[in-house]
Amino acid sequence: MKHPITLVTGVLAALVVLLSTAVLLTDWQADVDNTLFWHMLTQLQLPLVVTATLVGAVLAVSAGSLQVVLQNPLADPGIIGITSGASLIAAALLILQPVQTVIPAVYLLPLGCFAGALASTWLIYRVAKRLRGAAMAVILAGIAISTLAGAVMAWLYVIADAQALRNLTFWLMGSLYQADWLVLSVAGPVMLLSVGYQLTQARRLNWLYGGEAMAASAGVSPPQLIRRTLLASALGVGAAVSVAGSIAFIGLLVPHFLRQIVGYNNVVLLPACALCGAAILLGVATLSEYLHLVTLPVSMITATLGGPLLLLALYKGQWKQHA
Amino acid sequence: MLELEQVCITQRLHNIDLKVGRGQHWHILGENGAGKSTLLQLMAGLLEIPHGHCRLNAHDITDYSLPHLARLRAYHAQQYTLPFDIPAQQYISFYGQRLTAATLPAAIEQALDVAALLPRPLTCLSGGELQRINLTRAIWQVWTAIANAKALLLLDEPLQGLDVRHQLTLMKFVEQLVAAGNTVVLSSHDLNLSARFASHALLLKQGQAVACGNIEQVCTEANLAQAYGLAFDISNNQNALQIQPRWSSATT
Repeated sequence: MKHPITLVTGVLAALVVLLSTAVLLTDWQADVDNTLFWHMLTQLQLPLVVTATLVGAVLAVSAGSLQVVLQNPLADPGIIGITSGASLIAAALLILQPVQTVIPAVYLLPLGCFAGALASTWLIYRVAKRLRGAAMAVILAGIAISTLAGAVMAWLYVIADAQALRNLTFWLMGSLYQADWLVLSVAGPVMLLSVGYQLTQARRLNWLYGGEAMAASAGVSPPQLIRRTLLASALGVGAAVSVAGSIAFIGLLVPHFLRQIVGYNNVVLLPACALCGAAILLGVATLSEYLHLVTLPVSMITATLGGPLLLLALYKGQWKQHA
Repeated sequence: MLELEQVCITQRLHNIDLKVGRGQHWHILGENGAGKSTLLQLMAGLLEIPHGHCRLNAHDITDYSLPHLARLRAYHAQQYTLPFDIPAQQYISFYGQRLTAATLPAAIEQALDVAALLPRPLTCLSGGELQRINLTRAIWQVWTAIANAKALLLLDEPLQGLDVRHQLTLMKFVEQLVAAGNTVVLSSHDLNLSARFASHALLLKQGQAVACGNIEQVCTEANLAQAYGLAFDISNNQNALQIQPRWSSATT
């Protein structure tokens, strides 16, 4: 029982270190002089590594805890519409405001993402509460929110100019290359705190597996736990969207596959999710660095890999629902 | 140990008075929707009490913190479908110490026969098996308090879904726990088992107490007829009450 847990965690941690080093040393062999190398390292590769690590970790951990809180193994910030809510507000802010006021946008964008993420999380929580037990209905509601956000963004295409169009692709498909230290200085700590907070709640989240009454009898106030966890994950996902746009599938697949290996104990599962999410996005970063695919939207890669895996899991009946 | 004083919950419970002493074995009886589950929930400290008082060891139950209560009172709720395929063993371990076939107390195994179920995922269990796992979960959570004879066990329909043998072994186990000094309050629909095992009973109808006290005082033909709207024949057989509904007059 103990053995695979330490093994998996070890392998994931090693992968994170390995891939970060790989990304950092992209330009090493190129015969560039030292100052240029250091400049690229600190201004390009390092923000890339930090973005990939934090975004991957926060998306996977938030999905893991959302699945417990919403009592739904299919919950994922992407699928239930949290990322698209955040993206929509950010894109709308970018396009609807005059280009001259770009500077405050650095602070405005994260705020917009937080607002969008919180609003869609609140909405989905209301739906989940109303349709207690109907797991599929929550997913459908999430799809409705995503579709609506997508449609509104498509309308924004109509009124957007060429520069804004590029930005829209970013908000729809995600990218790890938009982040610089300025943006990261706002969103980074939020993501870090969000992951940290959710990890501290892991033991209490275990109690929610048996439902709210069981959690209460085990010694935690469920409404409080649920509210705080939702808030933490919404803020974390909002921050992730503000630096990397919307990235699909990480949250759905990472907790699901890790549960098959390390089990359901969130004290083990959530840290493993953080490592695995980080490793996957670092892998994507490594791939696009070495294959020179910088313009590739992240969601394209994660969806290319994740879509078939999702279908496979569904086909094998791993998401049997009683509802 | 547990004392209810004029407890009211809008539309569900009306002016309930109850004194549960340490080492007593109470059964809450009554038809569906009579308020049994609500009563157990508020005794567990999981409900706000708008009127009246619920005191545990002479302190208002709302004065206890949930983590404190979690160590001394077990609460078993009626069934809840879990959306996750958690192995039973891991599920139970979340709520207490780590539970394995080796650390499973012999008394629990004898009563609930769960050792063979521990490695199986919860979604692959039958209703009765899941019920036994859930009971194990509730009891295991307060196992230390049970060992110190200080536990309060609140079980909502623990007999539901169990086969005849497990109903008996469970009630025998509860009898042992009570004899050791623990306190048990459970709701039941099996009048004969209640009459055989309970020391006291509370009979509810539409949120009101019809009768309350020693099991013999509560289980009378008049009380049961009032609570269930059905006539009963009660006979005493070897010091145990036999309670039979009168079939001929089943439609009153």
